[in-house]
Amino acid sequence: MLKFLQKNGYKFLAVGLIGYALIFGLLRELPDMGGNMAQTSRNVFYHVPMWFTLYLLMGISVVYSIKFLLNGNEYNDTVATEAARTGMLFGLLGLSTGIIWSRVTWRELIPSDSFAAWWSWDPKQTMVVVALMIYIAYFILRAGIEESSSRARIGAVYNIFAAASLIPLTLILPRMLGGLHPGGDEGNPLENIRLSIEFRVVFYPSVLGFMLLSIWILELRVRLSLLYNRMFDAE
Amino acid sequence: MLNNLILFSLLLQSDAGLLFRSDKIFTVLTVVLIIFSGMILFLWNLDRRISRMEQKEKESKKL
Repeated sequence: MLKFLQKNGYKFLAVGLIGYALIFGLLRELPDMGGNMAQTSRNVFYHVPMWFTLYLLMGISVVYSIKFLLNGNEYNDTVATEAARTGMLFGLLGLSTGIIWSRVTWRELIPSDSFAAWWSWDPKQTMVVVALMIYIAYFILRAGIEESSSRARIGAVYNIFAAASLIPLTLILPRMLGGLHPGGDEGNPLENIRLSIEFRVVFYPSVLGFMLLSIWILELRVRLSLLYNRMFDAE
Repeated sequence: MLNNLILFSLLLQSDAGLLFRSDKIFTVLTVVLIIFSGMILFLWNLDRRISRMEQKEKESKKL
């Protein structure tokens, strides 16, 4: 029983936290942020955690890449790849939900029949796509190298560059350029007074919940990948 | 999971409160929760299947 909880406890915690965020995120009375943000400000509980999760997974990915370069253990390479792949999933989810949200929020500024409503070249939006493409190149690079030990080594080195570009591209540059996302001249949106305690009590559990869920998905992918390697590389 | 169900039923009963005041958000919530639990059950099932495969692999190596 204790072993069961040790192994699966974080999964239950993930489900509980996301369930809490879904229930209270939708039902809770929130301070009116005015205009189009009135009810859609609830998206903060679901759209933003996607990005927190992406940073966590890409962070795990690069840590395991470095570990691989230090000790050459293939397990580390597997975790690094699968973490980047899982991170891609959350990146794409964040990107698509962001488009829906911005269409409503900037309705008056950007007419919904114009192309800009779907793609406004907002710095954050654009740079995130650039960052995701850097990771797509990582997968293509790996797919192109036949020999498994050099694939792992070159992939790990590339991954360090990919991770190093992620923060400046998606967090620093957009803050300097402004655009549709909060955080330009207002400073860190998390320290913004408008993200009041009513938001925080749902937002942080949601972030933690989605992070734990992504760890679960990552764990499954790693186990499956290791199984596959043992079955087909041993021969 | 159980935790959520208890929360959920508590919310159901407090009809004077936060639930029924605003529109039909409750319908949306039910849909979202059903989708979420379906996905979690699916993931749980996948987890168990991978565990079984690992177990079988272990057993076949012993033989």
